[in-house]
Amino acid sequence: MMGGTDTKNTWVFSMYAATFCAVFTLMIIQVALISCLKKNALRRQNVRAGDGLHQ
Amino acid sequence: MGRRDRVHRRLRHVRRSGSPLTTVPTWLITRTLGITAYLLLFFGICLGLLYGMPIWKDKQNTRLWIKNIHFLANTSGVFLAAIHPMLLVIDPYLPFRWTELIVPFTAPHEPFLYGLGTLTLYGLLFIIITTDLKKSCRPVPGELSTSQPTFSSFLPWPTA
Repeated sequence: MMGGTDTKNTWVFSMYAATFCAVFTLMIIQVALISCLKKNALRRQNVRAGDGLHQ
Repeated sequence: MGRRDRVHRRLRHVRRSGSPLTTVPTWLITRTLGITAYLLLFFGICLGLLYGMPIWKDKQNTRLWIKNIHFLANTSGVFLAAIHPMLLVIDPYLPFRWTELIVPFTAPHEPFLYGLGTLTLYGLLFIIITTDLKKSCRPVPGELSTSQPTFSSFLPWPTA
């Protein structure tokens, strides 16, 4: 789509760079949020397992 | 006969024939379609990423609305991306043959970049078809559902 002619245009190239950065940032945020959720869930599971052992 | 001679002969033929195609700014339309398709896909990917984030606990309606727009933007982006190379066949500025468009890396001008474009279109079509197939199939427990992010779509997007 952006091949050849239009990538040499400064505006089009900067648009490509900006959109790439936006998607990359959103991806990082999503991965960070999901890993945070996973960690919390694992911690809760470990606490429950510990409680079960003590009883 | 060189490629440039063939292009010139084809151009002369188009001019002599007085075809109405010469009056249509196909090159401009092709470029506009390409950029619009790219922006729609960008918008669709952003919405897909937002939709996959665990921030919609009490806002299921908003999440559903984002999901619908995500599908709409991606499907229209792929549709425009499919029309975008087709116009090159009738374009008098830089004419292509069907085989040069379908077979990657065989374009007469900048074959690597145009080849990447062809591969991107195949990738996008693959994602659309597999997503639709997944939707029509009954979900199996433990398998990835369509509501989960289609990470394979990140591969063709940068090559676009």
